[in-house]
Amino acid sequence: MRRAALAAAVLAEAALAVVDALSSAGFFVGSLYLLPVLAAALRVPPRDVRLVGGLAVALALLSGTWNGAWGDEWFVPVVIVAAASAIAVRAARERAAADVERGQLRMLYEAAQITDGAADIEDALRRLVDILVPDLADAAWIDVATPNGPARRLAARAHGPGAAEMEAWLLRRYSKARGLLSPSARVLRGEGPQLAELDERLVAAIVSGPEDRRMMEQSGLRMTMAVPLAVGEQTYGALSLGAGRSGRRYGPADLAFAELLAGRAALGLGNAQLVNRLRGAQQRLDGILGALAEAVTVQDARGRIVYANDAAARLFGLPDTQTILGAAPGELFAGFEVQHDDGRPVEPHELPSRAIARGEQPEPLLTRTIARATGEARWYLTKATPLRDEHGELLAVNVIEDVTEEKEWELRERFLTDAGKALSSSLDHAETLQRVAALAVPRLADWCSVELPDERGILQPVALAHVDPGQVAEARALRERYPPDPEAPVGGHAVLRSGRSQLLPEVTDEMLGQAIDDEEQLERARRLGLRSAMIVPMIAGGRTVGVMTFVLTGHRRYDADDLAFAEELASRAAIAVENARLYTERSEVARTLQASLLPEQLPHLPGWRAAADYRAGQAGTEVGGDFYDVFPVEDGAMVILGDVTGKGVTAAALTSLVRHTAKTAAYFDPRPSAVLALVNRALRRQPRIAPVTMVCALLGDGELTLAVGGHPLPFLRRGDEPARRVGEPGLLLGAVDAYEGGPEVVVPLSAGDTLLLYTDGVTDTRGETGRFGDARLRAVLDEGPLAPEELLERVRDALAAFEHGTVADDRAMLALQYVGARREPGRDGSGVATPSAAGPTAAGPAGPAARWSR
Amino acid sequence: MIARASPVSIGGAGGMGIIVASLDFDLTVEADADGGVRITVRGELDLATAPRLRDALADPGGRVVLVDLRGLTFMDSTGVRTLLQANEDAASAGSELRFLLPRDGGARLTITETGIERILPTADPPP
Repeated sequence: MRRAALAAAVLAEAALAVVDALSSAGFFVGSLYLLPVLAAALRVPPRDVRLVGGLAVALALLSGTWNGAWGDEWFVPVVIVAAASAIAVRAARERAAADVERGQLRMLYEAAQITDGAADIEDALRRLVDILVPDLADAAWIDVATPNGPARRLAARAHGPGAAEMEAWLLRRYSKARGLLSPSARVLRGEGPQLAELDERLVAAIVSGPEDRRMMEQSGLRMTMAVPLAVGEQTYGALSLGAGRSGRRYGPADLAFAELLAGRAALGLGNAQLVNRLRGAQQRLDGILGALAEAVTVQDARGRIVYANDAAARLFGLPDTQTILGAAPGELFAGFEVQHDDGRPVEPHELPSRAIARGEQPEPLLTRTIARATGEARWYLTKATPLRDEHGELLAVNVIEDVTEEKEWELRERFLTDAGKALSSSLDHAETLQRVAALAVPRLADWCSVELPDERGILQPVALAHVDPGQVAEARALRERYPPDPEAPVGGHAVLRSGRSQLLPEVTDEMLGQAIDDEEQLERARRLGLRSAMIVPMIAGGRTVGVMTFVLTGHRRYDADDLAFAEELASRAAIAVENARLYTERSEVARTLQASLLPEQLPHLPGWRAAADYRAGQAGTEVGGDFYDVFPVEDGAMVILGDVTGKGVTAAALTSLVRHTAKTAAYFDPRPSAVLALVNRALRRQPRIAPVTMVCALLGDGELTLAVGGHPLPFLRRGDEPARRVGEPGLLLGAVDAYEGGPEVVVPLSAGDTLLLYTDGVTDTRGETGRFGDARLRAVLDEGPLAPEELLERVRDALAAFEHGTVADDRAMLALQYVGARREPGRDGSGVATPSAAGPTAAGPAGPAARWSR
Repeated sequence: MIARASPVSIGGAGGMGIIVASLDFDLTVEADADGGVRITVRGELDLATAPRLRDALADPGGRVVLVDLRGLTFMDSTGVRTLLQANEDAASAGSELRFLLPRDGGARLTITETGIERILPTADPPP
């Protein structure tokens, strides 16, 4: 259309020239040459207007020669036409400039509209490049930054032949380009708008290989400019424009416009929150990964880290994640010594990410990683999983968990388990503590000592271990020669008093000098090389029972973790010490209490010989529940023997209750059934049911009155007869309220008759097969008549031969032999008791009021 | 008594009980068809094993409990005490606890000696 307008203007000039040549209208007609110029100025570009103007001026000059008659005025039309042409050219320029502005305004408007109805940011960005190509560029592409990874190219548009191939190349290009020097990369790094010739130098710097170079050449791009897509200060993307085949060139004005346009588009994107959504998703992901305690890195097939979270940066000891992304493969690991659990170095091919690259499914790898710079050792568990990106490239996602605490805990737990075994191996605390001290060296200390206070509260060394056995003697000698000052603010006594640990991470020579006045002592202490120390109370049950001291002589220094661990160890050692002490104390108490519950010595019984045997079951720390007692009553003597169920303090209290109740009862009413009834009443007043079995016998002259409450019946050995049981079974005590005493039985006796009272601990004694039982006891009794002491010894021997395994129950035995000595008459005014008819006589629970003399 | 769903919460469906076994002692808890619980004890009831019976009796999982002691070969004073305690607890809790006592063996001897037969409520042996 513009060409048609130009042709029309030229034709109009030619027509005017013909009219001019044929007529002689004077200079007025000559001036008409200016009309097509003015018309052209409205429609054609300034260059063409200039052409038409030139033609008009030339024709005006010719017109003067054709119409030579004008004389002096021939130049007037020439001046008019020339002036008008100049104005027309100027006007055309103004008009053209206005057109460009209108086009730019349209683009700016459209750029601001790209988000209307856009599905997502990629859709909106594609619209943006559509607006720019071909009006402003031959090709345009957009890169968007991701918070911790490489930029992503989200849109590309090209114009002209081969546009589709070029667009594909542009989209593919971003991930492979060594783009550090490319204008878009500079923009993304925040370096501002870029304008560049794609000369050989720049092309060489940014192409990734021959194929990339070929495509670059094929594209025909000669110039490029890149401008930021930014929301506020934050650059999140780069818009790049390329000029090539069209022959256009970019200048500062184009760059300024592109920047303006990009700003407008960015504002639209920002308003539509598409960017926020994109960034939000990325930030959420990054937030999730960033908040993880585990380090996460993503490596591409070549081992290059393409993503890393903050924990990964910390793990590698780097200031930020960008530094990791810039690092070459292997560079990061050079700063660490990586070992297996057992100390073997980890080879690069053993890393899980390498296994992923080989297409394997690696097992998690536990490593001990020592930073070469600091010497700090940490335990890491590295798990890798394969991932394919949108281009199908294989990535390895590494999750590196810092398991130092768990691992250290495990190691310490193992140590404490060992310590626990050492501590429980013996009840001799000196031996135990020596083992614990030895265990602490060298794992926790180069030298470890344990001190316990004596009765004056002065610490005495109990155990000492040194990593160098030769130094043990010196350390011991020094301790002996210069015992610690009990008043010193630092040291064992201070810890013993306060119950609070003292941690001396760094012991300097100066500190030693301040603490020690004596020259020789100072010299010897220096030679021991104390560098770091912990003094820890041994606390058990809220009481400080001793002090443990841990000393380092090398480069290692104690920290709070070491202190916590030492305290744990010390408290376990304390419990062991306390247990040993309590055991000793309890054995003592048990022995004392047991003795108080049994008669120290059997009283002399006129007409009777008696012997007793008692053994407590288990390890001797508990008071048993079997009891017996013999005491005088009005008409002779009373014997009780029984079993209180249970052990310990409760059993001791019940035993005491039963014995005292029986004594008191017998004092008022010596009938055995009455004694049992009263004991029953006392037991029923106990808060918990307290069953007691018991035999109660009143020893008379030539006879014995017996009542049995739930207890094994006594055996009677008479002459050569086999042993037989005497008495009637009665209900045990403490089970019912209405208890009138067991059935009383009077057993007439001849001199030499022997009775055996015993608790079930005797017959229940466990052997290799079964229990001792009645039959075996009977067999011992049947061996022949024996004095009480010998009888008990025989039974004891038989039990010892039979017994197998631990002794679970107590046992008590009482042997009584009637020797027939007559009682002194007249003591109670009742005269001589006469034995009743032969054989035991049963009496009802109501009991014969006429007592045992019948 | 009307048959209903087993109230026993110890292990598995009704009729399936738990078995606590040791060398010379075992204890079975099972639900009766009529909603009661039956505890069967075999072997030796003494200082070492009585706590297991005590625990089973403390939370039998049913209102009516039958304790079958006929399989006992031995019982000592701790066993006696356990039975008496359970009996007293049941009486104060208002639940029904009945015993099937051994007829012979070492445990029978203990029962005769102590006279607990006169205290413990016994049940007729089931057919």
